[in-house]
Amino acid sequence: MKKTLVILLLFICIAFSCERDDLCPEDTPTTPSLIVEFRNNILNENPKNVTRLRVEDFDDATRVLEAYNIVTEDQIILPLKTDANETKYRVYRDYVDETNTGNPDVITIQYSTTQIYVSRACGFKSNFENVEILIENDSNNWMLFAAPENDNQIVTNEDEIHFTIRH
Amino acid sequence: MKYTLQYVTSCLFLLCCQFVAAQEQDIKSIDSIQYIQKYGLRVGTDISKLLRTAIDDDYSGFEINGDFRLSKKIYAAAELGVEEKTTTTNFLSATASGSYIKIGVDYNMYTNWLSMSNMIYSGFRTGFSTFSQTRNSYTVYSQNQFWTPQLTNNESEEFSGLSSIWLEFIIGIKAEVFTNFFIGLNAQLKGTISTKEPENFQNLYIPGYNKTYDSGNFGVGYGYTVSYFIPIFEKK
Repeated sequence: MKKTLVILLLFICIAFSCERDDLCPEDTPTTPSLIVEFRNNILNENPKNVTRLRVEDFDDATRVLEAYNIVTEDQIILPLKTDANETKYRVYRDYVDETNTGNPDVITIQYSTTQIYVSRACGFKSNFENVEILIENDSNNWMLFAAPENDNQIVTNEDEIHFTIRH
Repeated sequence: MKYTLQYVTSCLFLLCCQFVAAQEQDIKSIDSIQYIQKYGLRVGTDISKLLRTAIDDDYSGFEINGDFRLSKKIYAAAELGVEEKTTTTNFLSATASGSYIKIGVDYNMYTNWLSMSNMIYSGFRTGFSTFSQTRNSYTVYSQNQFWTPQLTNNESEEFSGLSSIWLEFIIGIKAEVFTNFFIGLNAQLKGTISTKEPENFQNLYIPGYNKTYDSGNFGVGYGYTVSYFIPIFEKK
């Protein structure tokens, strides 16, 4: 009888000590963002900082990417829309404030999406294929050239640079 | 000297043994009454599945279980059932539907008084399930929520022809509350042997196996059974 009790208790412990599977662990690779590095236009292997960089939603100038609100960076990580086939950003160089915005350039990122199953807790992630960056022509582009790292560039993880933009 | 001591103690032990043996023989000769043990087939159902079917909108299931007494302590046991369960998480919803069979043995650890046939038992099962899984909907998961909402797909997709085999360790009790009428409860611990997963998806629930876990190939389950014992023959 005592033995049975011990086994029963063990059973209950095993049954309830299982970890919760309903929370998606932060270190699980899910939907990746696009990683763009800014390079020197002449020595195009060399990263080059963009001064007073600001990245905002093309359609809504009040929505700014938190990490890129007047910073000096040579790399930007851009989240992409998973429910559309293009995402548009307005990227400023030498942004001061709303009246003195420096030089804004508009980029359109075009792609197709596929949904990949991750796990019970994380559900599905979106991967991006045939990714292209188009720089909209204006009278004074500071971005000169956007080049993918590979042909038919895919974005499936955040471990590598996907695009370079020369300036 | 050492050997003498060993010799003496050994002899003492031997004497003790003989003494104990003699006692047992005495008891046996006094205890001349032998109790009749009933052998037969016990059939029943899992009422927890019936109850859950009535209460839980996301679940329906039915199970017939039975065991057959093979010897004083060993029972052959089997469960046969159908289940349908909808699993909903924050990001997806899927319905698993199918049937299962479990076959194994139970070992009765309880020593009954007189001719009673209650059980405290543990045993093993091999479980086999064939089922289909329908992905009802999902929303893409993204840590970055700058662009919302994420893509939601409400197009359901059915993955059929799925199957799973598992081993199960079971522990439980069965008590005779009226003549030949038993109620019981049990707990099950399961380990997957092999399973056929759908393409670009996962078996979130397997009929008979219950919920699957991301963290390992194990599962848990429980049952509340009511069953009726059909006596077939008697043995002393």
